[in-house]
Amino acid sequence: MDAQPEGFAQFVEGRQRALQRTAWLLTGDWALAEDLVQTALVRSWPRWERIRRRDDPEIYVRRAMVNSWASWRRRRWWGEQASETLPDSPAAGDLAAEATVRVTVQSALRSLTARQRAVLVLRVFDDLPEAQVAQVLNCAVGTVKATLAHAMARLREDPRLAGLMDRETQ
Amino acid sequence: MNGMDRQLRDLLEVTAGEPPHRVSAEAVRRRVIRRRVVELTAAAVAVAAIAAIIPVGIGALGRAHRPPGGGPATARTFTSRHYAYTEVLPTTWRSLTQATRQWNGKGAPGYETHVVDLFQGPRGVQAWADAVPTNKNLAAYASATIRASRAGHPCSRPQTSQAITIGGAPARLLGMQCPSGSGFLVEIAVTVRHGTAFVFASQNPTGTKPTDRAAFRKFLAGIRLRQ
Repeated sequence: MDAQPEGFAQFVEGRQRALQRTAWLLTGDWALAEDLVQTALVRSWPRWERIRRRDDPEIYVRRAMVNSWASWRRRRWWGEQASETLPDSPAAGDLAAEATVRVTVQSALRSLTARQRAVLVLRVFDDLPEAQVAQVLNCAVGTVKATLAHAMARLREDPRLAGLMDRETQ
Repeated sequence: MNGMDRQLRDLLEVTAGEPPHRVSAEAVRRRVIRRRVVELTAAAVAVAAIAAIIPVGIGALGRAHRPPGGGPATARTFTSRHYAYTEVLPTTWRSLTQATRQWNGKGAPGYETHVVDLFQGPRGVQAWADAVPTNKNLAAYASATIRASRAGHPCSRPQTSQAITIGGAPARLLGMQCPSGSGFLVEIAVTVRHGTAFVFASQNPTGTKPTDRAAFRKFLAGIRLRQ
């Protein structure tokens, strides 16, 4: 009972970092990100053989992750555990600049709707093709394109984020 | 990918940083097992409840009325392993899990954390409990609880704050919406006794129902603080 399905450990080993980083961009909290990845993997565990045969595990796990996150946002508002330390504490030099970037980008991400944030993270950060993003989110490719366009338009209007991008360009 | 996409990707790359912990297949396996145990326990409880109800129902059908002077109903008492309280469970409540370790007093633990005793009530309502040594009085500890809840979860300011008693000790019952304006109610009852702060919280993950407050008050009435 509960023996690990074939290939599961290898998948977790190889993909956990990328999945956690995606989860962090969705949740903005490392504890929640870890919990989200584990939740998605727990959901995938009983169906792993089928997922491996019929589907792309990466797509399936990411879909489970995004769905769990959406469901947490709707219902599990108290299921979150407060982190013991502030995510960004004052720091000197480069660290301070990095902290500023993090706070600004996090705040910009928070200004997006859940779906916009999911599309943006999957398409821009994870670099998934639009068709795969549509698969993960279970929607049409056109919806992905439109949602991404709206998200980008909203980010363009964020003066602090625009400032960071200008700085990157220079 | 256009210029803005690339710049944004670079920013997201910097922002995401490195995860502080690894997720291992073994941790996932343990969680799968824990989940199955909970499911099996719930199924066993349901079967036991049905098994208990059927004979009672049959007995009730066979009797015109109950004979007077029957024995008292057996109360189910939950005794916390980590915290100094017991709970005489109302009939519609049951214990789900015990805390596996003590709370360190930081943050505002949610119902899925390992530091809380978790209870299931009627129509989806849940309650969880934890405690920690404190040198604060009740008012100061209630304020600290509000701050922690607002910082850890995007809760509103308390919409209700009532003086109640828990196990005979003065307590404060707070009602907040989390997230603010969502319509989801979280109730937190706080008391301080002999240098220990006790926190009992309640929520309904399936959506707040009009009966939740009364169910939680019934739950609170069953609490006994140990010396």
